[in-house]
Amino acid sequence: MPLVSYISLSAVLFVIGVMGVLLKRNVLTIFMSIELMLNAVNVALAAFARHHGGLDGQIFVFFVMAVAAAEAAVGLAIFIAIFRLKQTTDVTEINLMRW
Amino acid sequence: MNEILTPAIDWAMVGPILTLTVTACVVLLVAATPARRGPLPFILTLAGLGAATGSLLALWERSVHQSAFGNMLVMDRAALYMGGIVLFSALLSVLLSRQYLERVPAPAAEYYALLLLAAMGMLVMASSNNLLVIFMGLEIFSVALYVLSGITRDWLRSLEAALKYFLLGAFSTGFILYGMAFIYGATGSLDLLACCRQARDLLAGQGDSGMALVLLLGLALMIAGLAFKVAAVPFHWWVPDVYEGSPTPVTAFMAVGTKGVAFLVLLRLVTTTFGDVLVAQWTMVLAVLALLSMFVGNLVALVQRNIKRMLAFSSVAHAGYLLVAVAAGTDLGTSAMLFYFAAYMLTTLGAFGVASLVAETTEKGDQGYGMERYAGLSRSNPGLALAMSVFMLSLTGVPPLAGFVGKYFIFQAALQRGLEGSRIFLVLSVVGILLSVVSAAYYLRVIVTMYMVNPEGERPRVVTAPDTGFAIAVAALGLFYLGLYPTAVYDMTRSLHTTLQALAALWLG
Repeated sequence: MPLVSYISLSAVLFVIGVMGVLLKRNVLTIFMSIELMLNAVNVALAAFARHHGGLDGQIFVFFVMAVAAAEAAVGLAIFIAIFRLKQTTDVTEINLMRW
Repeated sequence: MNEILTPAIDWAMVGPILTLTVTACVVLLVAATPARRGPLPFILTLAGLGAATGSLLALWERSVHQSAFGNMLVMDRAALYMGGIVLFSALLSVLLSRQYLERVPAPAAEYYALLLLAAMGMLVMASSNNLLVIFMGLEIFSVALYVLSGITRDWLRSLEAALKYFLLGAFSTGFILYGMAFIYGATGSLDLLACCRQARDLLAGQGDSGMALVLLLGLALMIAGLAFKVAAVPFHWWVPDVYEGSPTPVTAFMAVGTKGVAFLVLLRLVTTTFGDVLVAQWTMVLAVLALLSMFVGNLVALVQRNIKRMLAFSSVAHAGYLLVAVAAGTDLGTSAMLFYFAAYMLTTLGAFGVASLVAETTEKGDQGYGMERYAGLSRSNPGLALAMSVFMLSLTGVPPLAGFVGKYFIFQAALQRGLEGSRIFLVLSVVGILLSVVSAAYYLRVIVTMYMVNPEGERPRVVTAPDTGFAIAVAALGLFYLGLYPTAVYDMTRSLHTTLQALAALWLG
């Protein structure tokens, strides 16, 4: 398949991710949408790496995955801490300060 | 048996980064012992920051161009200058934190370790010369700051700030990453200078024409993500809430460090890497961002009644001024941006430092960031009120303080571009100067409240610990120094532009 198909797939995934972040109200769904954006990046990186015949892009993918895992650890900890105090995962209810 | 060859690595080159990492690990180990309650973590942190500053200065004395790890890191003077600013702001922020941490329910040792790690990530990002390293530096300090902003985890406000910072920060990281993927796709390299060479060929019409479009898209996405990190309008909505909810010394460090390294990377991208190939495109984008930031920041700050929110919008406005300098793209612009940043660091740390002292802690969190709490401060704490006045006047841009000199350099750079015939820069300088005048209204309101408004009831004296007082005094005196004798630092920043350009020239051959 040509490079364009992979990049199109990645663009579609990225847009779905962005839409999810902007439209969803549950913090977990928002977070999953962000992960989807990162995976769109990974698809693009892997496809470009194959296109150029280099390894840089594929190695970048590993870094993105590792960092996403670290982010997930911190993010879920923050969600749990908030849930303990407020019993909600709805971002519109977490509004001591206005958005 | 074949010998395993290891690449030659100059460890001194990553001295500051290594020092901070090791110190952070040691502090974390101390956090597991009973010594965590004593002054040990604080002392270790200060020592680590001091040692890192020492090795940074040693690098400064060495040659001007130095790189490590196959040019993934460049320790040029621009990186060292911004690294110095990061370390200095971390130092002041640690000094401000000790007293603050005694009254808030936060684990002090972990707090210091995270602050050190955040500073380390900022140093990595400041000296990165590779898209992958930019990303790693960015994430190291961002993840540390997500935790730091929510470290008072019994306070909903602080957690809310952490949540918003985390979600929006990760969102912006997605954009930066996608931009990087496209730049990599178009140029086939992660190294900034190799990207630079490829970009020239692409835009000169050699190679795939579709790839030129991909490159533009990548640059646009990266600029959007970085604009988010520097809090430029329209990517600023997280700023007021995160700045308000985070523990105040963290806010100060976050405001300075994040912005500083993000601006340096922006500078590297637009003036060095894509400096002469995409000028028209990025100049216009940055100019529009600058205009919007100055407008929204200054006008919304006018109606704020909470000092932290006011300072947050003021930092949006200042991101606008700094963007004017970056957009100018000339040597004057670069040096003005770097000089102004030194002034911005001192005022921001000082102002947030005073705010953290004047506030009080209750069970629900920090209270007393309202403007009315400053009434009568001049009588209960004359020194503190004087220092706050200096910070506010410097933010406004009143001579002889550093803020004035910095703004002068920025608008000089913009006017120079304007007089060369670039109309947008004429608009930028006129609007910027007018909005600086408008900004006097909300900065002076703090001074008026401190000196002329009588407090309702007794105004309790604010207790200032010696280290906190020292940090605030250093910030205030630094503003006088930069304002009265700007030459030394300005000459330094002038030479930094040459450094950035020389780096590109060196590699392009």
